[in-house]
Amino acid sequence: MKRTITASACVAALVGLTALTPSRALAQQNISIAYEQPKKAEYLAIMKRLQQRKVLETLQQFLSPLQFPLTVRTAECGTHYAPYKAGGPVTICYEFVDLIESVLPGEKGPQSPDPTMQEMFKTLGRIGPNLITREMATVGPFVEHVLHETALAVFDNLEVPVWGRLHDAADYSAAFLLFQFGTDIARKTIFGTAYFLNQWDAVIREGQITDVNYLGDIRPTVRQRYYNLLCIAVGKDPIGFSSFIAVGRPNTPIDLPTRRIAHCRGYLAGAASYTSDYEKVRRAFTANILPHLDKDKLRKVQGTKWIPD
Amino acid sequence: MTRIAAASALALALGCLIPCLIPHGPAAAQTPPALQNDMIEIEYNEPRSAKYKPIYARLKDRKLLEQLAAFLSPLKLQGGLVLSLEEGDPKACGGPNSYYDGAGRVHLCYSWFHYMDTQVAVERKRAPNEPFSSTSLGLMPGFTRSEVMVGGAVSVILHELGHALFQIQDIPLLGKEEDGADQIAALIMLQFGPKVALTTIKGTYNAWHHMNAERLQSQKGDIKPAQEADEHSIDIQRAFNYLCIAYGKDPATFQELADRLLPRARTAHCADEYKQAALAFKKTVLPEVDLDIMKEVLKMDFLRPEDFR
Repeated sequence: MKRTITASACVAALVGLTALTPSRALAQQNISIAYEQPKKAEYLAIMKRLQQRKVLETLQQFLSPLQFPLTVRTAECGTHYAPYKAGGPVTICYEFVDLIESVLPGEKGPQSPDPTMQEMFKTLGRIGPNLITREMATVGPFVEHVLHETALAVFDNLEVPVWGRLHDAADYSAAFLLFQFGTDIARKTIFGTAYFLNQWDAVIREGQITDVNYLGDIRPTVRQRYYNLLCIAVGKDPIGFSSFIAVGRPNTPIDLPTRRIAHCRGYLAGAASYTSDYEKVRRAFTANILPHLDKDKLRKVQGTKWIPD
Repeated sequence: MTRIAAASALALALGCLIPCLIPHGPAAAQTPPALQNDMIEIEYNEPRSAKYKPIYARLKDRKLLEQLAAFLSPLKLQGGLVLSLEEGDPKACGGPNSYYDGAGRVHLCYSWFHYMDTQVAVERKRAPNEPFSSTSLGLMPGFTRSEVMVGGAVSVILHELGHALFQIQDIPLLGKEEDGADQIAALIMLQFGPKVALTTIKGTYNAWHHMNAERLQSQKGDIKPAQEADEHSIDIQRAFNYLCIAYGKDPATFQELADRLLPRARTAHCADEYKQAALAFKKTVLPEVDLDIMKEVLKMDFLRPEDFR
């Protein structure tokens, strides 16, 4: 896929995550960070910009409510994903930042209904009827990825009982956490992540979708992750994410199918009641993770504007 | 002939996921009064359709539900549980299917057992030199009809019981519940020794392979986004999940199957997948097990030699 913006612009979009001065209130000695030197020059540029923007330092503050030792690092991995290993660091691969960039909205955006607005529409992407900015398409998947990987570390360090596949639980937890900072943040990051996953699936699907190595991976397929994300989103905010519900029109692969929506939203059927997936995750998080977080720091983290408007 | 080994598998599972200090006593011919759980009821519902009547007769004669109720008796249930063998509503049971209705009732549909008997556990003719592939139906090479009948029956019973447990016991769920129910089933099937483990896991794998093959045939070899949107994992993923957990618990017994049927990259994670499920079981299910009643369950001899022929 043609790269239409440079790595620096991609990382610049992450400024939204990083324009914070280190806060004494959120200082945390147990969270270590490391920007590992890559071998490839293209990744060196990414590393330097992440360093300049203090992305890991900001994450260090964001993760301050955690009360166990954890290392978060950026590194060249040889692939876009380095699986979390028990006791190990959370790794953000430069290749993953590169992957986000490779599917960003390009120079030829959707057709504007008004020719005078075409310039504004030029760099927008689309997921269903929703327009996606480059910032959303960068920040969303990056933040979701960090939360996903951190969730795996939390499950490991706190010995959290996890039913269901680990990476589904991490996706569900990440989506749940995105809703803890207000509806605006949730919508921005989830729309951006949905865009990214949809684009990524379109790139890799042909030739992979029936490959047993892809289906048998420890992670769900990219499209499964897309629907997992929307399941939590629709479960929590059906109005905000109503564009992914096919009301009065045919269902498309962008939409969450009706049958899945029922499980995501929870429903009543005679004497039976089914809890929404969002509510299940909330209860599990409250029971098994929340008691182990520093409550004062958690309040401060929730009250901080991590992503600007 | 349908062979059921579920009762003994579960009984020993409950005994061996905690330090195995409980001695095994002599076999008992009938269910002792101590194994009555007031929260569990059973129902044999005579089928309307002639094709299901032999199944009904065999399962009733085998006292499937009585045995199931007996080995569930150690559970300190927070709500009532009905175990119902039925033809059921065509929409719900027609599938083939079995299900938990969210209102305390596990519906074990004859359609499922019939499907195992007439579709899955059947050796299909192939052209000379035609390999068994992802789209091949029926009995897999090296698998027996008995394994499919036992495994297919046991896994569906334990899967639906998993759903019942999650809801009745209000067990926290971070991942997808359907995968969690598969994990409970796999976990329990593995606690009864290599012979039962191999039989039930092989049968379960074959069942999901067959269903995946049916779908691939109807979809011209493709996997549709709608399958990825489902609350269940894709059929072949479910097969991989069961086998991976088994291999993770007992690599010696499952080495040959893992080498043949699991993606190589997946096998490295299977020990962790088993540990994850075992930890979740230990933390969320075992605390609500009455150990005194469990001692009585362990004295029962639920298996018959002919179950493994």
